Amino acid sequence: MSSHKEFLADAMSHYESLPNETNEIYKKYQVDLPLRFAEAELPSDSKSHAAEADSVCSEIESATKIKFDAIISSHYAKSNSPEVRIYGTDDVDKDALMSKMFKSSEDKLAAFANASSKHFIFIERAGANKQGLNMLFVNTCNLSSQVFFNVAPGSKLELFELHVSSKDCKGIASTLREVVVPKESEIEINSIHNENEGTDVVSLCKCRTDEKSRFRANFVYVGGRNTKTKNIADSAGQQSSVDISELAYGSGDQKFDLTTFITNSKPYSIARLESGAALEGKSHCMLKGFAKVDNGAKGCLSKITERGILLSRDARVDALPDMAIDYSNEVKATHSAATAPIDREALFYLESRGLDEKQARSMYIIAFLGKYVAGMAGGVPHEAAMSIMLNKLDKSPYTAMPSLTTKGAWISSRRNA
Amino acid sequence: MILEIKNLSAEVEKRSVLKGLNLRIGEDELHVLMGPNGSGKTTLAKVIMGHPQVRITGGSITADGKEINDMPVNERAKLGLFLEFQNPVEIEGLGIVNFLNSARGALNKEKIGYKEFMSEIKQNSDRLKLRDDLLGRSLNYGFSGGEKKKMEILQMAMLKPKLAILDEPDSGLDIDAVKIVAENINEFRKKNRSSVLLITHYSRILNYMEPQFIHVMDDGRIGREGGKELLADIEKTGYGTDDAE
Repeated sequence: MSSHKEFLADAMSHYESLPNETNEIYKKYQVDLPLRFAEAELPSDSKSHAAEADSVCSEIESATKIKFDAIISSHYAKSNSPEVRIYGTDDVDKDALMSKMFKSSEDKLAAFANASSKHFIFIERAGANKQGLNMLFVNTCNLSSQVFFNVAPGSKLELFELHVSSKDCKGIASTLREVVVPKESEIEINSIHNENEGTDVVSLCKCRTDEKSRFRANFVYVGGRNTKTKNIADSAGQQSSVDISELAYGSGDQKFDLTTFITNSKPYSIARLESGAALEGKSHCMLKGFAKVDNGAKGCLSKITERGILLSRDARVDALPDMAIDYSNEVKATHSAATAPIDREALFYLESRGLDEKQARSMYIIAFLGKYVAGMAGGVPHEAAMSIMLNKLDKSPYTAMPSLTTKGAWISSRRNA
Repeated sequence: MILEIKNLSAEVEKRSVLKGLNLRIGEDELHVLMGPNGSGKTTLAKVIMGHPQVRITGGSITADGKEINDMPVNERAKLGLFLEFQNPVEIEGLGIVNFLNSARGALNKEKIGYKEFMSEIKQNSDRLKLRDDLLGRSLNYGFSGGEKKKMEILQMAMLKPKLAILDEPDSGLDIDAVKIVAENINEFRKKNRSSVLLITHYSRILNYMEPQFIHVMDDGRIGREGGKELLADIEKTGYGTDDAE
């Protein structure tokens, strides 16, 4: 086993050597985050961080009725489930880890995550257990975690992640997920980021699907100051599918840089990306979706949809869908992008049914936001996402109880089912 | 509700469309508004409901004696006005059931339980021969033209306005659907004793209805007026303008 110090030094040196961006177009459209964890900034008093994280967890559990299977904070982590194993930097086998890690040779974000991670979380799932797992990430002062999945063929797993910050916390919250979806299994990740305005968010997810397997990920970014994400998903098994949905709901000066690469590398595979942004104030979002169809991916489906609504004059969305198709026979591949201000005719329609201007606007926005959480597993993730977005929209109290009170925005049953 | 429009002039994007129009709709009356394309029928419907693109330049609209020229759109709805849109908007993500529930709440309709509410929607939906799965979808999203028209009638039935302005509820409908929509409008009127201003180009839908008043618009004003017998004239001679189809 190599020492953690050596590992960290190597990783950080590698991270420092990489350019921020290599894609010429993306160079013009990126949030340039000064990613650096100084050791001195890391908390030394793990007890106070544990107390803080537990307090935040109790508050959320009480308000939402969600029960978390694991809590991860800057210098503290605990699991209440045998299916979630968490290691620190001192007890994880770095060499074994390296074989599972995100291939970071050219990816600066991944290199940063590798260099800074303090928690290594292994999610295990075997057999018929259909219970979803809920994880709470509380950034108390820089939080960096990596999540690995060890799922048996034929299994099904739904993971809900809620990312928040403790009060007055500043720093970076980084999460890297490495997902392999084995044959005939299903993995769904529902991730909601609601960190405070002092937190920069880094979110990465790499996924590869095996034959007849399904991967679905729904990422919702509501909080944070700057958010930078990268998803790399390969629909790499015959008849396998990858569905990624990402949504930024921004206000103030928030910035979002959402990058997702999807690939069809096997026949009859499906890879779909739906990206959306609803922006108030001076917030700015870059939606960068790239789809690749590999040679031999006969009969595959590849689709990118990017949508933005501008809720203020100063908000801005840059939608940059792109595709590279190496195999053109019997392939369905489409991409589209559209950004527009709120539709005045739709508001008139809603007002003509009795809703005042504010109610009509809220209903329209919620309908837009709702599309991006419609694919989430019912219950906890869906209600939590809507609750957090409603709280941002009009200070509605947090709730996670299924109800008809979502301001008229009925959420359809899951799409693409 | 008694709606009175007196000497109404209005413009859309600085173009004069309504030019001194007069119309009175009493309680429990069925009025039909016909006229050539561009004569101002849809603009009239929009101005009654308060569309922001239509600017009143003269005259007045009153509902039960109260002028509503500057009244916000939702307040007009609360008075009991309803507009069936010629081109209903699609709002993806907005579920029909919750939308109707919210609209009923906004209009201060009597509170009913969830089961009763759903049962009422289902009854109206069945009467319109709407497919069950449409109720589980987003508002008008991906609907056919006919389904959108029926969804508007469903909303009218659920919101129970005192005066419904129906802007071409028969356009784009097949023969059977025209009859179904007409029967539902009749049922709505019978149940609620509401008035209807029905805008149409075709007399087919009127085969199933008994309108008391027919008005023909011509260049921003009501030109001819009469009873159902006027329809036969229109069928024979058209609107008698250069623009008539």
